[in-house]
Amino acid sequence: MDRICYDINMATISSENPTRTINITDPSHILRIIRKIVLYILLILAVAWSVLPLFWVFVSSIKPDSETYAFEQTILPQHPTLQNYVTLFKVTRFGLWMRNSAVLSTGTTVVVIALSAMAAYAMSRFRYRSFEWLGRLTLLAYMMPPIILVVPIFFVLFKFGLTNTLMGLLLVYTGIRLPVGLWMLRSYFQGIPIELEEAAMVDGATRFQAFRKVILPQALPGMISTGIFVFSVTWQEFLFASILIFNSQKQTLSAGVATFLSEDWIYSWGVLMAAAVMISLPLVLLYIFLQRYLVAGWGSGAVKG
Amino acid sequence: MTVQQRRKNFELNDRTLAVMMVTPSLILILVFAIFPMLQGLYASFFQIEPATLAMKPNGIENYRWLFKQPLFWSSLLRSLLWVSTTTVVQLILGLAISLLLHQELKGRNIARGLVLFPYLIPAIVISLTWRFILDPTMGVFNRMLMDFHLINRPIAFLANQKFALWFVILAGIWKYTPFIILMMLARLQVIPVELEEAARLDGAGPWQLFRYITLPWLMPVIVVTLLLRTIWTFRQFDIVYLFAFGGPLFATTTLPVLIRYLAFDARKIGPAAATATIMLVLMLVLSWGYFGWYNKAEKNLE
Repeated sequence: MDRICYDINMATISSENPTRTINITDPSHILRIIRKIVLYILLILAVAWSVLPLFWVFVSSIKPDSETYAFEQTILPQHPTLQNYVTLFKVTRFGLWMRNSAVLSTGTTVVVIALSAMAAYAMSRFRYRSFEWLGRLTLLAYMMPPIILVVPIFFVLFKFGLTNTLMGLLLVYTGIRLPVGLWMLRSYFQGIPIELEEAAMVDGATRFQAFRKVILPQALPGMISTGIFVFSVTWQEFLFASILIFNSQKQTLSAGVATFLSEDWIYSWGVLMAAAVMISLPLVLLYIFLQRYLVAGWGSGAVKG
Repeated sequence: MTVQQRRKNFELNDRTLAVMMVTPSLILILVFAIFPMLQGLYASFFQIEPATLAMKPNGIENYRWLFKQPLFWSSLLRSLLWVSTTTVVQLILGLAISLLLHQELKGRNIARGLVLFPYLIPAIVISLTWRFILDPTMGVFNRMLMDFHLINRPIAFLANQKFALWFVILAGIWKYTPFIILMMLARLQVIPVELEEAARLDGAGPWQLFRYITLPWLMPVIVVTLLLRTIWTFRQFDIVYLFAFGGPLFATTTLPVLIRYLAFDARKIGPAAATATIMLVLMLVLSWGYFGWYNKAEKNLE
């Protein structure tokens, strides 16, 4: 901020009277300073546009109702409180939903990564014609809109009595996230030199041992970024949960909180904002601490997808 | 055992291992993606009893019924508006911000981290956020408009048929611009320095530099990004639905929201399957077009 103010002062002085400042005699210099100021203003605007709504959600979650519903609102809370969070966890089923979502996301991530690491390895190492088709099938499955799949999947699960069970939802999540896991990991495994496992096999390891002891450690960063991706999309999944689960106790975060919105207005905005913060928090923490993996994952999932 | 035999044995083992490694994934993909897709396609030619799920073939009747519904056409139109506006504005905004973040500026790295934040935020949270900001009684947006005397009384934006979809579009732009920034920055970071220097030596100004060097360099990524965003925005369900549940009076009902409405609220499963099939066809056509464009952009670069 200081730097910008300084630049602005320089610019105003110099544009009023260019000869007064010694180092700014050249008009291109003034232009350059003006350009810098404009760039910094734009930078601040871009950051504000990205984070101000979230900032507003956060401060509203720690304001007491008397401030949120006041006629004259202040930006920062005058009497910050955690009351909204207490209400959220004590009065609503939010804690239960959070547990369900955590179990589902963790389970899905572990199974998807395990299965797709194996398949991705096989697909990147053995060049059978049928595996090429599997690759195409994976891409097709990856592109398939979930909304197209949800009705048929609902009826299949219904037939097997798996609707309204977390087990059924876990199965569905594993199935619909597998293509993206497979797709991201396959390109990752392709980048690991085949010589590594050949060396291990010359030393007497079986192929599976080579895979487990040599290739998997190499692929760890890719598996972490894919895992974070799968975890975060499952954590916030709404469509399948809202359709396959009809029982509030078994609901997940997104679908559970969505019932707050369709029901009659029971909870205050402060409580809803606390819910918003709690749903986002794990993802934000993952982003802050594992940014390196996450950004790499977004890139690879996207470019090669 | 000769060397060749041993080799053969070894390959056989390899093959068994490979098949074993792939099978679970293959089964899951078939069961949860390919089979439902075919099932949906198939079901679109049947009349389906919602209670018993009894199927009666009725040819293209579902499609004919659908094409007679004004709701289908208005949803298609809203889908097109939602996709085109969101992706185009996203692209322009994302491109501008990434060029800005590519400049030598102080605090650039922090800014890069911060502008990616919206991409993390789940749809339900975005819906809560904007419902709160736009709320007619406590919403900060209405208060600001009133403070600046732009309006006299609060407007319930999300209950207003004229405004609702535009705010969904705004939220879509907000959430997915970071994705564009991410893609563009990655590409900008590997732009060949010689290219820019050569152009500068030839006396190119900033605009010419952008027009003849940066833009063609970005073009293949722009096309891929546009393709992905178009497909993803087209199939986007949760943000659109959670904003206003398709309302007010279907004003935010795009095709995915329509499928949900037909299948689970109106109990018309056949027409829902027909809508899904139409969506699928539109998506395939879209990706086809883009791949042609992508190949052209790659060639132009050379």
